[in-house]
Amino acid sequence: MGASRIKQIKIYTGKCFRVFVNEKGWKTFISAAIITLIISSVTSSDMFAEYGATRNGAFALVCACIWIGLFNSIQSICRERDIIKREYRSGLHISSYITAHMLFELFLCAVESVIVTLIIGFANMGNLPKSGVLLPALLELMITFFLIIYSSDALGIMVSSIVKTPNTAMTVMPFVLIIQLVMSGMIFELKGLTEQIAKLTISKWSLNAIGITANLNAMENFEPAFLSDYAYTISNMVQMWLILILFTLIYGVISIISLRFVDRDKR
Amino acid sequence: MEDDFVTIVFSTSCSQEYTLEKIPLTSEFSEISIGRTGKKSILMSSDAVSPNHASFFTAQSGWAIIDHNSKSGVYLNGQRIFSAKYIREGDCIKIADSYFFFTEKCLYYYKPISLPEKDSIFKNENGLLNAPLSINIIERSAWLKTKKLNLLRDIRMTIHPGEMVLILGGSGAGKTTFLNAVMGYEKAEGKIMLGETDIYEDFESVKHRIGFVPQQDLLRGSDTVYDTLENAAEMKLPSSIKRDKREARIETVLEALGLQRERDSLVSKLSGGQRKRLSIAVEYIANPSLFCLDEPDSGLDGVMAKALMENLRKIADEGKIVLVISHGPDRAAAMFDKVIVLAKSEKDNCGHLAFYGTIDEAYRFFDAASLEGVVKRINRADEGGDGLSDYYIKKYQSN
Repeated sequence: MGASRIKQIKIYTGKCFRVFVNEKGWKTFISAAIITLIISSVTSSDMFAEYGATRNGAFALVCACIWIGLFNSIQSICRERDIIKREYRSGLHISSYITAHMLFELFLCAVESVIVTLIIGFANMGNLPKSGVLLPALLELMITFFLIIYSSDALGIMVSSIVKTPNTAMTVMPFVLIIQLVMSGMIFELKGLTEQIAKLTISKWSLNAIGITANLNAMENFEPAFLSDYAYTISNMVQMWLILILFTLIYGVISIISLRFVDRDKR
Repeated sequence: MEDDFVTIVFSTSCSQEYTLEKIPLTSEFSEISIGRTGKKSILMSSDAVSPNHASFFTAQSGWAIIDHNSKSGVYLNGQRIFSAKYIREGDCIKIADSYFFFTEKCLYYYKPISLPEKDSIFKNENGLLNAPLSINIIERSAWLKTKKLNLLRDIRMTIHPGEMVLILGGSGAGKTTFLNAVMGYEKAEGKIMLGETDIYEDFESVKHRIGFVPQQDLLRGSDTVYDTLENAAEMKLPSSIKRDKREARIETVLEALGLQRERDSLVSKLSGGQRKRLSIAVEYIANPSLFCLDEPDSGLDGVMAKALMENLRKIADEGKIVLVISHGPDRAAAMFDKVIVLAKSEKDNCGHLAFYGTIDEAYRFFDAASLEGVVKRINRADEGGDGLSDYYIKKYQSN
C-alpha cells in the first residue's frame, strides 16, 4: 500500500516549494509589488480621506489583488495534467494533491498580501485610519488583501483543474477577471439578476471589506445606497471575511471534484 | 469427533509458501478479529492488511464476516463484500494474501509463511511477486458519437514471470490500446489475471504492482532526479518501510539505471536517454510485478536504445514481466523472450493477435529475417507493407 492522504499532502507540498525555488518563483513577488506600485501611483492622494477617491482606489486594489491571486495559480494544475493522470492511476489522492497546492498557495498569498499592504501603507501613510473596526487598520487591510488574493488564487486553482491545457486557462482567465470587475457593483449599478450574480463574486465582498476598514460611511458625500454594505461594525467585517473564506473552500472542493475526471482524459 | 472426516480444499494454485492452520469454532469465541496491529485474534503482517481489517462474528443465524472499511477489502467467494455477510459451510474468504475456509466447526486459515526474500523491503503482497499474467481480451471497443468502433478482438495468452515481451504491430493496430487494457487503465471485455488477482475486479489493490512508462516523459522538469525518485518512493513503497531502507532502495535504483551522476541535476537538464531512464526508475522503485513501457526507445540513438533495453532485461531477470512497445526492435531483438504481433484486419478494421511466441518462431512464422520484416508483412500496402494482415491472423488462429 502506498502513502496515506496526509503523507501525500506533505509530499506534494514539499514538491510545490521545491519547484517554486528551482523555477525562481520569487519573481512573482516582484510582479505583485510592481502591480501595487502602479495602482498606488494612479490612486488619488485623497485615498482613505475622501469617499469617491477611496472607493475608486479600493476598486483598483481589489482588481489588482484578484489579478495577483488568479495569476499565481491559473496554470499550476493544468500544466501538469498528464503527470497528474499518471500519478492518479498509481495511487495519488486528488484531495491530497489539491490540498497541497492550497497550502503552498497560502504561503505565496500571505507573502504577497504583506507586500501589497506595505506598499499601500507607505503610499497612504498620512490618510490611513489609525484603527479599523476590529484591529489596527493596516493589519485589517492586510487580512482583507490576503483573503482577496487567496480566494482569487483558489478560483485560479479551480479553473486550472477544470481546463485541460495552459492555453485554455489563459483564454478563460480574462473572462473570469471581467466577470469579477463588472459584477463588483463599482462600474455599473446592478439590479435584479445581475445583483444576485454579483453576490457570487469575490470583488463585491472584497470592496465592502476595504470600505468597512476605511469607514466610508463616515466620510463626506457618502452614498446612502451603500450604507448597509459599509456598515462600520465588527459583525459586518467578519461576515465579509467569512464569505471570502467560504468562496475559497468552495473553489477547493470544486477543484477536487473536477480533477477526479482526469482519468477520463483521452490520449 | 471432528477428526472423523476429511476436508478437501480445491485450489487453482498452491504455493509451498503457505501453510494451513485450523481455528476451532467453539462457543467460547463470539468474534475472531483480523488486522495488522493491536490485539487481534489473527495478526497478519502483510501491508495489504489494514490495522483493523475485518472480523468473523457470531450473529443470530450463525457466523458472519464484516469488513471494517479496510483498504484492500474482504472477498467472499470471489466477490468483495461491503456489508456484513453470513458465511456458510465451504465458503472461501480472501483477505489480502490469505484465504479462510469456513466449516461448521472450524475456520481453516491458509496462511503465508514468511520466507527470507531477496530484497527484504518487498513482501509478496497478494502473492503478486513472480505471478503469471493471463490475458483474455474478448473485445475492446470505443464509441465515436453513436458509432461503435472495435479496437481489439480475441487476444489470449499467458506471460510468465521473468519474460520480456515485445509488442509489435503497424500503426493503428492497437498496441497502446492493448497495453492500457492489460494494465486495467482502459478496461476491455474479458479478464486479465495477475496471478490470482483479477486486475479489472481488484484494480485498487493491484495498481501498486503495475508500473507503466508512457511514451512521453511525464516528469516535473523543475525537480531534481533524487527528489523525483524520493517522492516516487514515498508515494509507492509501503508506509511501513523505514527511511534508511527507502534511501537504500533509491540508491539501488539510481545505480541500476545509471543515474548516480545525475542525482542532483534538474530533470529539465537531462538528455533524452537519461530522462527515459528516470521515467523507468520512477516506476521501478516500487518493484512492480508487471512493467509496461510504451516506446521507451523512441528518440534514442542505437547505442542508448540498446543500453536501455539491457536495463529492462535485468529487470525482467528479477522475475518481473516486462512488456515493451518498440518501433526499433531489431536494435535489441536478442533481449526479448517473446513477441506479440498485433495486426489490423482489413475485414473488420480491428486489431487481432497475429502471433505470440519466441523471436525465432516469429521469423519462421512470417518468413522474415528481421522484426521490421515481420511488421512489413502485416502493414497495409499503402503503408509500404505487404498487406498480409488477414492472412497471418487466420494462419495464427488455425495453428
